[in-house]
Amino acid sequence: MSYVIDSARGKIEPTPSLLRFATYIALFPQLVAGPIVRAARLLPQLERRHGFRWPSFWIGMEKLLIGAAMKIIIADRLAPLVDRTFAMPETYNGLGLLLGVFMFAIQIYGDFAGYSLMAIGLGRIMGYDFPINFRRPYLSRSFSEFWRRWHISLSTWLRDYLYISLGGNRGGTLKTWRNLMTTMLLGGLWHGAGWPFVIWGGLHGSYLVLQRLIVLPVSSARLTGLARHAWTWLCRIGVILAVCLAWVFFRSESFGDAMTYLGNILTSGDFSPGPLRNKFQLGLALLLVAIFLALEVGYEDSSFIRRLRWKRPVRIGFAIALIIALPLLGTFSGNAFVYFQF
Amino acid sequence: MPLSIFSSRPLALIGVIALLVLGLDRAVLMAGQGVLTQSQFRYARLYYGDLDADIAILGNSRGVHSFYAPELETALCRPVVNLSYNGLAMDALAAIGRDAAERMDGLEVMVIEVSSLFSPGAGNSQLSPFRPASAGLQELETFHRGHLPWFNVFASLNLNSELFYRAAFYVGRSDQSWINRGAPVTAAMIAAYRAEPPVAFSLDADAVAWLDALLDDLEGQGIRTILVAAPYHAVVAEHAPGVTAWPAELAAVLDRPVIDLVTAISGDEGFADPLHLNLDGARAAQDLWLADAGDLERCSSGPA
Repeated sequence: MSYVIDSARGKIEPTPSLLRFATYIALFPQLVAGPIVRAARLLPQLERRHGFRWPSFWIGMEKLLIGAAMKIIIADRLAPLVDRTFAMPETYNGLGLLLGVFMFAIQIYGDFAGYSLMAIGLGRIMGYDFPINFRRPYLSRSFSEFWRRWHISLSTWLRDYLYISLGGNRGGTLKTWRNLMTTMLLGGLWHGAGWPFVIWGGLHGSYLVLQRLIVLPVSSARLTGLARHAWTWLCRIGVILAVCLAWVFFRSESFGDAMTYLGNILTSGDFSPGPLRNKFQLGLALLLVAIFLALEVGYEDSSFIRRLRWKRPVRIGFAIALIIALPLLGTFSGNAFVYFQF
Repeated sequence: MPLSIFSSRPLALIGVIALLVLGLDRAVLMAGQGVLTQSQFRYARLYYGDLDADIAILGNSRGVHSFYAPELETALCRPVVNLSYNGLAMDALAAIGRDAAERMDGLEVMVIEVSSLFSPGAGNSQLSPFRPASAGLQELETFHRGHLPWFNVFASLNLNSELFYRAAFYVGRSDQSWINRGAPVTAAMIAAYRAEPPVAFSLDADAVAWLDALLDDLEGQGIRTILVAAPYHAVVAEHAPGVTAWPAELAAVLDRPVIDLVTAISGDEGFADPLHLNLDGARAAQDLWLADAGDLERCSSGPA
């Protein structure tokens, strides 16, 4: 679609080569689940000659490894725990259900961001440059920032071809709200023709509208030191909670199932760890998630870690650690990628 | 400037990384085996430690939660060890049973919770940390999955198992007090069980053959065997009526007695879920199967 629209808008020159066009459509790393690579980005790359380049190989392998770790160590370890929680929510207490949603949030992130990184890495090894698709989305401080960090190739696609086409924020407040809601509802429908996806999209649309409506009492720009950190985390936690609420609809089989899940959380009254099931597997999975999130927070919040991360010995050491961790901690039960169904 | 794929420097770097990875992989395996030798986890003690007891219990998760070894020891005044594990299928149970008979010098009695006949064996691959120490487990793995070259390349793959992580958890502490202790089964769990497709509980000839061969081997070594079908919650018999018939069928096929406790415990209090007892249920079941077990004499009346 982006090829047709961009050609019609004159943003790209239609390619005269059927082979090049077919290669763009069928380039396997991005074919099944994204990142969505637009013609404007990929066609010029297809026109260049691609020789093997060691620097691209190293970068590609690094991304491939990190992606595989996110998928196999994190997402696939969480998958059976999440599946059980959502299959029989009535048998879990409030804490078990809350953990179920939280784990799904991490599972889908690890699964899809892991897949995207692997696709980008494979592309890089072959000499192609695909756009980044995730940038630590759960550390966003607002909903608009979340969508600048989550499934970036889809959210920018929706922005450019839907939101802006509908008028964007140029027609006044009410029209902006309408455009936001329409874009997110259609974004929900993009995932599947079912009410849970529509509600998921609708919730995200309303979050974006609410964010424009509510004037926060504090601006982080005015805060310093500890207060600034506290405010940042308060905003992050608020975004995570709201996003998790929407994930309940996304993961549930039907609207009724989602309401049952949420209803059980609200009426459970029991948030003690005692009745939790599969405690050992749960503990192990949460430990791995904690390490993963600590790495994400460290990279996001510490310029020291960011600088360290680009030093060659650190990169090689980290890659070797991942190669060792994959066979030791990976889950090799053949779980398909979650986003293959969309 | 593109570099040739045959550039010597990057190829040398790949070689160095590969050597480092393989070396570290072996180091991780050695460290993992160190963990196993220090662990008090049941299979770590059996395969890498010095496990000995008069009485051993084998089974799947129903074996884990139907027999409480510390109180059995008190009741019988004899060392007892529970070697059951979640999802243990009969072929793996047979391999472990033979290893226990070979490695535990003083073993006199083996109690087998026979619903392992219905375990699909999905958990067998979890036994990989103990495979290097057991010819029986190696044969089983080869039988089911063939030779796995990746296990030779990445030796630490053998440690990728819930059982290894558990062994690490039980370094310096016993695992024999592991049993369901939480709240009893809830109405929601019972309703969820009713909503599942009923289990057929039909005896699989191969699984029965594995059990039969194990019993012959054990009895040939002078080890007494006791077969127990542990209790199920009443909803199981209501939902899957076949559950009440299989212990008698098994006894007839094996021509050996099976202590049938399938419907022996009523109410919810003794169950953690429809398939598993909790500590209260295990205590009640203990009185029942000990009464039927003939010459296993009590030296005390059990827990107060």
